[in-house]
Amino acid sequence: MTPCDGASGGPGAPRASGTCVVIGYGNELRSDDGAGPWVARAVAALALPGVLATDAHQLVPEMAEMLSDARLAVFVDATVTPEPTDVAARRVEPHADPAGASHFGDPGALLWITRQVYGRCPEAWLVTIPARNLDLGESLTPGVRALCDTAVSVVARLVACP
Amino acid sequence: MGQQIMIDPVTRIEGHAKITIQLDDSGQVNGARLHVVEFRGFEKFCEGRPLWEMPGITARICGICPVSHLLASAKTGDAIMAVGIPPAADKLRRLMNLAQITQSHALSFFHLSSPDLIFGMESDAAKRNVFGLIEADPALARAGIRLRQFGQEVIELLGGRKLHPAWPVPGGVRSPLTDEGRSWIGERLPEAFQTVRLAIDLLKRLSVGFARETEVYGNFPTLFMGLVTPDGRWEHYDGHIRFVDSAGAIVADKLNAAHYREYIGEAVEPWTYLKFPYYKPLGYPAGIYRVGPLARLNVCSHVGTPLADAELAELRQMGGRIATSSFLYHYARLVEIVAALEATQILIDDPDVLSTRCRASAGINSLHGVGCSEAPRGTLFHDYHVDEYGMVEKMNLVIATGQNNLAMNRTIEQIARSYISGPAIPEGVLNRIEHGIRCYDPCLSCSTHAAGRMPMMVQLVGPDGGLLDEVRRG
Repeated sequence: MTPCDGASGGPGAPRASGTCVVIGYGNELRSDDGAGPWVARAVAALALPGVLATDAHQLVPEMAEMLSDARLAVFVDATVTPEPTDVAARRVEPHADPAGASHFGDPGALLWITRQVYGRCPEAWLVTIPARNLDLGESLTPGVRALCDTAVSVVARLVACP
Repeated sequence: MGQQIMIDPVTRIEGHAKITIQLDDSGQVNGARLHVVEFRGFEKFCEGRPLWEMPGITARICGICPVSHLLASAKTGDAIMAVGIPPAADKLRRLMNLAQITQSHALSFFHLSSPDLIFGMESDAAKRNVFGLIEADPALARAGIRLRQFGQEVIELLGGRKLHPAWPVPGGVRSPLTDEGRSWIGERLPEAFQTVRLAIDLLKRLSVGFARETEVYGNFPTLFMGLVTPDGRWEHYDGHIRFVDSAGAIVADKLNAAHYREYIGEAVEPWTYLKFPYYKPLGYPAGIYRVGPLARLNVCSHVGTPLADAELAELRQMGGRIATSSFLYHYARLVEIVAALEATQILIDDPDVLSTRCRASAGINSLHGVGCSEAPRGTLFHDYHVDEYGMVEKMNLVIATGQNNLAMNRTIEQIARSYISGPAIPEGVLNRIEHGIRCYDPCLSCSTHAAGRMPMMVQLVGPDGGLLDEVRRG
């Protein structure tokens, strides 16, 4: 996980207390799978007050501490769909995920860990961006790049909600 | 022809593998193999790329131990530039490697292996995972998470990123530790010490119930290999190579890591992408050797710091001067975390880590270089041939997990023979066999440069090749 704006749960950085945490995750060496990190950086560039945006290769349990202090969490990920679709947002609820019981997991599993270990977890949303190309590569396909702009707007609206 | 049982893929390891167990006509185990079935071929596609890109590219082999590749690659660059790096750079690279060892060992113990140890090898598979651990003991889980976080954040403090920090470079490192960073590490160290103490006490309590596992989970004579300091102490970044045998005799010592091809051969088998390194003077497969935390603690005389040496004494009391059971890798990992934390404390008290003189500059002065350091899982070699412009012409990577390949195969066979008799095999017994692999904490992404998730499928195949039974989980 890399802080996009110099602020994260990392050393010497401000805590996420009462903030909105945006985590965009994915493998940036797999073309459109890098959409999540791209959006996280774009959100960070907006410098929205009270918003902490980070990009990450994958979700890991160490993120639980940062989430435990947050008011709202927004996860951003690329998704594989059978047909081209639009950016979507849905609520995420905590759930145990023994199938992913390693160093990675999905947002619901991370929220479950946060709640179990720290006693609370924030309200959370998952914003998905349909991927078109997951081959080796470091750039987004043009269509997905355009959808990322939409995703940034969706995230901005979510974090603006009181 | 007997039956074959397949575990595919093996769960809670880094990378993608399957296990097959051959049964004879009477249902007794006839053999077992660990198959590593994916391949990415970094050695090939690095050809033609500039030397300066190698730390960044080879670090992408793995999301768990990128620091190990960064350091080995940077050291290879040092050799090709034919420079001695500044003392500050040496210490800063060491600091990052210690953080890497801490976070990786914490992941192995708390996330991957402790569920088997706490709940039992044959307990309910639905609970026998990190989620079960979190539910059963949130305080322990939190401590484990924070210990791994500590290691990762030290890496981030130094390199700017937790993953793939482009910080170690041929000639040194890009920047020193900041005073603020040094203070943060000092403030968090006491908690890290407390957590590893907690883990060691837990493991010691649990070990009483794992006497049989200690006896049959990879308990056989082999050589052990690792780096040691010039006076034979525990080493993780530099020094020379030493081999010892199971009786404690030093088989070879003061070997130059750059000359690894003189004493390490690499065999291949048609059923796996994972190579089989062996100690050349003994040939293949008699030259079986083990690397990693247990091997490092076997080859060294002592660690050189008080808390780690006290724990090493207890490990040796439990497993002998040369601990031959791979089940003791778990304990060895915790001893190494103690060693890493003590060494971290020493380094942050050294003013050199704040020095801005941390990078040497040079061009291509040698067309060949080898870099070697200890990754969490064992000794790692990077070997590059370059042209006069520094473009890589040929590359060979000898990865820790590959060096444990012979031992991992022997381990699963030993466990299978100990627990399987007849074709009816409970899930828990299959988990025991998987755990035999987990003892080594293999990183198959590194060793074959492959990646994958780890659900599990077990197939029971009859003598005629027909599928008798199949179990999936994950």
